[in-house]
Amino acid sequence: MKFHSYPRLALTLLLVSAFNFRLHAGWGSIRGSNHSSAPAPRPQAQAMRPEAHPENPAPSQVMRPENRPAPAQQPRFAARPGPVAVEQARTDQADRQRMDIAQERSQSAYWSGFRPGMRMDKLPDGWRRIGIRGHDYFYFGGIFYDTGPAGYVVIAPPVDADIPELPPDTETVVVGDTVYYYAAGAFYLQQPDGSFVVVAAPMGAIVSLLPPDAVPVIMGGTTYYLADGVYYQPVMENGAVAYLVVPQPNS
Amino acid sequence: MKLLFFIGGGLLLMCAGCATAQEPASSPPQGAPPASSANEVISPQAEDLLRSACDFLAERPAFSFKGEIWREHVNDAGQRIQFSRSVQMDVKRPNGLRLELASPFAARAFWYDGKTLTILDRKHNWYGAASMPPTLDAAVDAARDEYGVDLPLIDLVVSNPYENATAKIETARYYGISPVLDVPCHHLAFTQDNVDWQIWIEDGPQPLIRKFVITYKNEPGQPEFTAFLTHWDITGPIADSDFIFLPPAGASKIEMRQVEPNRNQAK
Repeated sequence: MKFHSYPRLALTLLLVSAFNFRLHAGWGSIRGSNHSSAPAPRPQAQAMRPEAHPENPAPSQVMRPENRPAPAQQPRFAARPGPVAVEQARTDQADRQRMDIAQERSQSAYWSGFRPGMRMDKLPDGWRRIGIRGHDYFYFGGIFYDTGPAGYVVIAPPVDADIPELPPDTETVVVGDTVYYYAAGAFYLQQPDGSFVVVAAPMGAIVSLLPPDAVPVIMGGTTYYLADGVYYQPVMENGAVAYLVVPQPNS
Repeated sequence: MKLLFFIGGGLLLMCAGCATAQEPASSPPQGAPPASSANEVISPQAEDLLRSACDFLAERPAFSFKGEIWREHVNDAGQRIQFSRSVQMDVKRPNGLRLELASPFAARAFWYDGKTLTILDRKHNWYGAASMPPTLDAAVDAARDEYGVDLPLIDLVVSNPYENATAKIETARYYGISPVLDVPCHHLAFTQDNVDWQIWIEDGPQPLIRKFVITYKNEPGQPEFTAFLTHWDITGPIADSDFIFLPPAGASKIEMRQVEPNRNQAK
């Protein structure tokens, strides 16, 4: 990657390294704070400012959302945050889990009231068009839409959808040394040009909230949750319940 | 970090030196702040009051209290949002702890019996368990280091609360008497490198902690943790069985994941 080719990312990395250096502190006790983990800068997370559209597009023919590709098929090249930024993202994820406030936080999130299959007469103000392999989807605030028989239908986040900025209230999810952003069932990877692309749920990811259309399934005596072909296993991490993306369990 | 501090301090001193050089030697600036050493105070009164409250707790073989804790979260807009939990804690020295944290959206219960830490998510009826060292002091650290669990208010639980609380303080101040839910209390304030904290101690023969605030001054937005402690019981015995976890009907055990090596270690 040529650094000067991506001024937005370059500026982000510069700001991260220069100004967002902060200490992590355990919460709820002096002992926890005195026993805190290593400092690191915070990765970029921008507030959403969707572009305005004067009116909704005309509904066209019905097309079902395409199947998600296999998790191994990650699109494009992700922006590569440095090891310090990855460590900060990991710390942020752990802090959020320890506070156990995911359910309350989600109450205020725009995307919390939507689930795939919901039908809408019109798109929300501020929608933007997302083209994926010749088909137009629509997007606003972390929610993706397709055209339906009479209006629009909320769909599971389509892999390869490219949005300029993260939706509100994402959580950072670190898998290995890769930083993902997660909201409303969508995993996003930042691209070298600064945009964010929906990717398949990465194995080993741990999220605080299930996708909105997740349903429980019992396999081999264990309860999993299934959403859009992805299995989530409840675990306890950092003292709170979270959901681990796992391969399809044996029934 | 200290290196940055010294570099920053050096730059400040250089700038201060430049400013001073431009001032007439005989005219000290109006309203000049006091010498830095005057700000770095350790109030003996604050220390004595804190020690009395901590020793009072340390001498109790068992105690319990209820209360409410607030933890602020800074949202995308930079606004500090308070999330609250009702709290109930039972402690039996040296190796018994039971803690309930509850709200309509999240409810967790913790048991430690000298051998095992169990965390029950009451909303889902799922629990995880992990082996722990045989004392409270070691267990709260192991819970943090090995499983990433932050137990709120464990400063009251450890065997030497005074040593624990003052391990890293830089200043200690006394702000007199103020009420906490109608109970007259001594108001103390302490600063550390990474947090500031305040404590309100009941004025009377039983120096009970009634309020506790931690300010995370190095985090964006400087969020705070606040605890109001009520319904203290320092006399009633607590049965050992109260600290042993018995799974509720229908509860499922889930994996309690360990943190990766070298994460959450003390620095």
